[in-house]
Amino acid sequence: MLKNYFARKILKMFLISVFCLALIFLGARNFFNPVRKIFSSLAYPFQKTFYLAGRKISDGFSFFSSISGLHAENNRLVRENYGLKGQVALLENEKKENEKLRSELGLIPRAEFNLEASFVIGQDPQKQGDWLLIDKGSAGGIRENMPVIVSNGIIVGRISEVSLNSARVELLSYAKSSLNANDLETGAKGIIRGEFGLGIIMDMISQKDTINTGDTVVTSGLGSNMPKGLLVGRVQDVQPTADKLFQQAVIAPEVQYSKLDVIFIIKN
Amino acid sequence: MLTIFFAVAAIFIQAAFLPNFFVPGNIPNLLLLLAVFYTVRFGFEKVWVKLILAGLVLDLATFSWTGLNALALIAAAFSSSFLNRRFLVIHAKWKFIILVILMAAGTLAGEIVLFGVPFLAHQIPDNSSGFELAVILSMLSRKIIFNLVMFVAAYWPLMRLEKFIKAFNRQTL
Repeated sequence: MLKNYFARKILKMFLISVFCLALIFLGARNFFNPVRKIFSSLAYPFQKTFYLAGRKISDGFSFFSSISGLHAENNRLVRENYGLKGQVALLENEKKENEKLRSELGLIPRAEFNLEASFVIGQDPQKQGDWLLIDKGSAGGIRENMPVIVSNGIIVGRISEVSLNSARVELLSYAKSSLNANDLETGAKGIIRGEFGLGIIMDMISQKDTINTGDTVVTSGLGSNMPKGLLVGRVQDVQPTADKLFQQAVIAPEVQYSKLDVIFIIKN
Repeated sequence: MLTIFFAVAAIFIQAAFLPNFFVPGNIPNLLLLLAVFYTVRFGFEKVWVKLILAGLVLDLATFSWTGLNALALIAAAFSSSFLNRRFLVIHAKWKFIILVILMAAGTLAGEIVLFGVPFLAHQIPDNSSGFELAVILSMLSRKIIFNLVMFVAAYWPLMRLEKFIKAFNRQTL
């Protein structure tokens, strides 16, 4: 009796699994994308409300836990402010020099980026932080593959899916992302890819190229829609690949992806 | 009706609220916990259709492959129900401890599906240097720990919620 019960139950489980696997098979081939787009439009207000409520509560906790350090933080900021005033004067000169060099190298001046600001309204809840959800979609002129940066030209990913009022940003830490980049100091070229959400690596660097710890890595501009000169991060460690054919560098991103509130999409 | 409302709320809490409080990769799977909890209380037969529907909605909300979360919820529910019927009989005295064991088993089954299916479909490149057995085991164990902590925190509110739903349903009937 009990045996029959379990046999029936296992058969049912098998049939349900086959049904779900069939859905997964179709889903992986973007069969349900139209349904997802409709769902995203309907779920957008709820998703935004829940995410922003969570963010406010989380910020509130951070605020209370940081009260004890406010006095020390204030003193540190005052000192830092004096230092920064001096640096601003120096940077004014460097800005002019930078503009000249950018025009010589054929890079797009930063001011010429057509940027669309957007709020983050969701994050990958299941995997390792592969994507962000933002509150601008096709209605705001957002298209797939547009690069996504934070205010000072740091690349964080690209648009991978767009619905009417929201879009998904595939982060650099996503295992399947790839981006052409080069070392700003030595010119070494490689491919930036995610390490299953655990970080970013610069792969396929030729053994002949030199790459050092602390070097700055920027986008090389090769590949569609990706401007040259966007900051990816800094080299943290360099090692040869297992087959010794290439070098591989661990890159420390300049921003913490899970803490992003506002991002900018480059539309041109 | 009220159950549907709470199920939808749970989906949005999972997809949009919880990521604010946890590091990516350590976010508890609230829906998986609810799936195990309701399977243990009402039996697999009574909940599997609801679990598939909830999983499909979660898939749409989290940009996963449609059917992946549904399969994970079903796997979690089935394994906990199987264990519950075969080996563990719920005694009032040990109820909480047994539920914790079932949660751990359900989480393991669900997470294996969530991780295994994309891996088999080569969604996670097997040449990734981050992809090593130690990393997978550490991720799975962290997931189990975070889910259990979440379950322990949510256990008494869940019991209260269930009582409230029962009372509400009795009143509306």
